Amino acid sequence: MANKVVVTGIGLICGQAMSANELFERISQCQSSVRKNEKLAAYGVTNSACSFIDEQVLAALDVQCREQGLPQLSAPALLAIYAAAQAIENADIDVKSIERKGLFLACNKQSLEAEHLLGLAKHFDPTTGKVDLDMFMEMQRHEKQSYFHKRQDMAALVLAERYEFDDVVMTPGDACAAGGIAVGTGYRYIAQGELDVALVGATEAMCNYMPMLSFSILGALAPQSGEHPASISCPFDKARSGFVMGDGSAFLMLESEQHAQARGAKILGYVSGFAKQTESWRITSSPKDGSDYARCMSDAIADAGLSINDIDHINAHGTSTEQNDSCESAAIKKLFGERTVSIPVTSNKSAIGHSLAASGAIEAALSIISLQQQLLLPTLNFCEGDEDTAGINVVQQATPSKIKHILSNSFGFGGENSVLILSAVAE
Amino acid sequence: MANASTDIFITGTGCLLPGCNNPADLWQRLLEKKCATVPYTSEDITTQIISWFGHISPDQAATALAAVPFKLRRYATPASQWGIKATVDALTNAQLDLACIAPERIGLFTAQGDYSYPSLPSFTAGVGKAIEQNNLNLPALTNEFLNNRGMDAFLSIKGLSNNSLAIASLAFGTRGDCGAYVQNKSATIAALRSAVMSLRYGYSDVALVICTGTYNEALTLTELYQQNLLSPAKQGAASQRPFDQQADGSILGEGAIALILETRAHAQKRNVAGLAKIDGIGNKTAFLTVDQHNNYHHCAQKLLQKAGLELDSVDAIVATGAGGKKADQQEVVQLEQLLNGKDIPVTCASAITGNLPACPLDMLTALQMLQHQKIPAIANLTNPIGHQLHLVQKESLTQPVQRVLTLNRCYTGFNSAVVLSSPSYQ
Repeated sequence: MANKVVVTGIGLICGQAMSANELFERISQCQSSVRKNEKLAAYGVTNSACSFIDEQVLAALDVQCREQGLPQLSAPALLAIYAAAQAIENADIDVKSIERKGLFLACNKQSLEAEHLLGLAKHFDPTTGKVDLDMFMEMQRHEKQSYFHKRQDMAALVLAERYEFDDVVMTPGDACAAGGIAVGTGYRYIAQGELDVALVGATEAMCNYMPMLSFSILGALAPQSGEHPASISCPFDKARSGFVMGDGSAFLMLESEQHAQARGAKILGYVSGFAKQTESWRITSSPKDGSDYARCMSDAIADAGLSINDIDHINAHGTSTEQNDSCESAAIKKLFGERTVSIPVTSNKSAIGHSLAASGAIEAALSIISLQQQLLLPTLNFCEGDEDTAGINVVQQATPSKIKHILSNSFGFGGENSVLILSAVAE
Repeated sequence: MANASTDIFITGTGCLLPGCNNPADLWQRLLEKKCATVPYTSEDITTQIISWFGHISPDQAATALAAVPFKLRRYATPASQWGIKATVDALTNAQLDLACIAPERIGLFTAQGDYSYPSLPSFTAGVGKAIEQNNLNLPALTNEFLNNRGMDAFLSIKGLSNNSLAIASLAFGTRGDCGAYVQNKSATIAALRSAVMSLRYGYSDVALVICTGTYNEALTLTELYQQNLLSPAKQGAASQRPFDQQADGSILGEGAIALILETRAHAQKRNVAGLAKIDGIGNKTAFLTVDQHNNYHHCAQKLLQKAGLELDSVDAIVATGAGGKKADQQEVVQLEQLLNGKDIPVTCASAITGNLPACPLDMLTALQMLQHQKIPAIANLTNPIGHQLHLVQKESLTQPVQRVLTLNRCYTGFNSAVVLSSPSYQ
């Protein structure tokens, strides 16, 4: 690799936290952001608990954007614009003045909303099985916020123009691995000398009707039978039964070490390794023996020029689904062998839900703060593992620890995996 | 690890486009100026307003479905199925047997321009039941969806941005570097960039780039219509008139294009000449200032500068020609600024298939031009709006074509440029 890659800024909005430090503090105090979503519950969505962002917060972000002359934007775009601006401010960098820069912003496809579905359904003729589009178009004449208007790359388009990213602009949509892939791809461009600076991150707002329904039907969401919302997601625990959804966005400002040092920037941490790959196994599951997860983890460690003995902590994908946590546990055991019991493992998803694309970026941001504060975050709701997860050293309370290198996993539907290695600034 | 200056070649192409089962079909239609758009039909939509479309025909769709392994079919969107068919053909075109390459060394990069999931057809069972029971409201619909199999059980898989990638990785057994992107040409450019990066720095030996998508979805059609971007298509297939004074909007379409990319060294080792070298990829975003007249040509200028190329070395340009009066006038102005009086022929292919999301029709056209040393005339162009431009009109030009600049301009202000040249061109 031509360059070391440093993190000089972090921006984040997630659940009820408006910054990365605020979220870190909340999780270290075992505060969950998972709440019942009354709007979804009123629509009849039975498992309506999720880590959503309040409509008032989104409305305030919308007002800010309108005041800046932006058009009406979708929720993921609003979150991304907020978090990206925070990362840039945190890095204290004049992005526009930099020539060799890139933007890597992960986001999955935005969904049809409940109101749109209902709107179309009103013009559906069950006898023909067709919707009368002309009538719908007439009725929706003044509707400005339609599907096409919610392009997946809308946030990237706005940020690219605002900060003059005139060349490399990418919007990864690799399902749950997308956030890790956005961070890792930016890292790769700088490490190979193609860019000096990369704004990397992800955004997602899936706590709405259609994603909740479709993941519920698939059996991926945890059933919710009277449990307290904050207790539902329990990664690696024997009672785990599915994930809860989350909203959020996080960005990191990455620079080559040389570039950051030249401008006197404060270095928060390093991105030192990355791997991404497909499994070609099955579309909804990974090999039970953890071999493909382990392969990706091993390749990322090798990319960082490290050995497994150098890894001090794992920020797990840890979705709280039976299958993921079993496979991930098998992968950790396969790769780390006897060291498994001594490597602390944290999943953030019981505190903040699974925000699909955004999760990888949010977890990278939290990992960088863990490295800065030398503090391991707890996995909320973990009590006891089962046969598969037993032996995994799940962190149950905030724990000071000497941490130099963190391995952060993001594994996606469709068999697409990414792993980041994040490292501390040398003392 | 490969040298950073490694040339990247396109060694194979395949496509499934309106009226075109392969690139040769497209070339024939381009030469004959024979448009493939047809009256709009849909199993899910009744409309008089949307009257014309570049459809993948039922026969084409059946062929594509047959190319997808049986056990994957229920998870694959139609667009993903088209992508598999295009990739099978691209591999044949590249004379590449993937079984000869370690699965971990095959990169896979997809661009989905796919608005079609989730959409109403995924919910028709539940919606129909609710209407039947005279109980069309969200709680009733939710009950039908969750408890009475009223929606597509695999919607979350079909609706994800990496559906094409997931299906392709399983169909072709790829286990290497990867990237899934969604949204028109920005996805195509990102997939291409990722593939080039992967090959250039040795993360892959071969890269499959699969671009596929459709505009055929109720809300998408509605919004594009309401933005006055669509042609009323009163003259049928002749209604998409790129750069013509009578242009009155776009005809939309659907399809898939696949490209096989390799380093020069890898292609030479296989004794494959390659179809073209990728000289450079550029883009510039003008989402908020989409109507300003400088982003498109600045994008091209910057790319040429970065690639160390002179505009004089470009033999032809494949432009967008979306068919909208305002959009095409803006494009012509920017082309005139870029060319500044230089006599470089400009063509485009959009009238043949309609505007396609994510598919690099311009690149596929450029590859054919390099292969056949011809520049096709623009279909449906009778009264050009740019008199300073050399818009290729009426007859194809037969002349040396060693380097082609392809330019694209999306509805939302994403401008992109790709330069392709003959493999032997220096």
